[in-house]
Amino acid sequence: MKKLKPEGDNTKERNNFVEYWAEYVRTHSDLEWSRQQNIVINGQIKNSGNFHRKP
Amino acid sequence: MKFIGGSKIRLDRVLSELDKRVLSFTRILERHVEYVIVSGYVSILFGRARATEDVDIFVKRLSEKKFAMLYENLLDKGYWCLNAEDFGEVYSYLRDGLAVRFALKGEVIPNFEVKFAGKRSAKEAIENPLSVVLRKGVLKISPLEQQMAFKRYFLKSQKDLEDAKHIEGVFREHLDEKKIKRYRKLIEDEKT
Repeated sequence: MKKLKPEGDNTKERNNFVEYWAEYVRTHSDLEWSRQQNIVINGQIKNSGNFHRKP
Repeated sequence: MKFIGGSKIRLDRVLSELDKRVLSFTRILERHVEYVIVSGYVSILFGRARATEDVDIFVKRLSEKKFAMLYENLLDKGYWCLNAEDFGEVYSYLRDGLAVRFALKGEVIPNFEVKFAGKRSAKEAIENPLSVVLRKGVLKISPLEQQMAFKRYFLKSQKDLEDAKHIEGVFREHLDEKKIKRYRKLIEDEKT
């Protein structure tokens, strides 16, 4: 995989990362990328149970 | 992930908590009606690294009687409707072309935003879904080209454009540009 090029502009930086991650997903096993992605996704679900109970 | 023919993908991902929730919800749905998942969750299912508050689902239009059975089934399985308690009110929203949201009792997010398929693009998606075979079940999603067109040319927020970019990057060897153009035209025609 090509290295991720840093950008000064925030939108360009985000776009670059989205492209980089998509390439990672395309070229790695489902197991490998999903294990990492689940850290982002599962954190939200874990917290959602508390959402309703907060005053 | 691997395409099996033109309308099926085997996805061997580790199921996220969100995937498990979606499988539980759609297992109830499919007992009553044909459905298709659209928009953000589709990108997330295929690896987009972001969270979401809701999962958008189109279902075939149901009669009041048939929807009552689905509604009762959802309540029995621990869901509630965020929009109304009264069944008649929930059905009237759907009949009027609006979306209603369901979540597990005691929760608000993630929720399932359900809408009757009214427009041609939604009906087409239900008729020609892409089946995603996961470790613990199958999900029906709208064609990837339709996702791309919808996000690129209709929704167009930063988040949606990034979702489209992700799908484009992951499936670049499989996407049919002609189909994307056709869906773009269909969506634009529906706007007017």
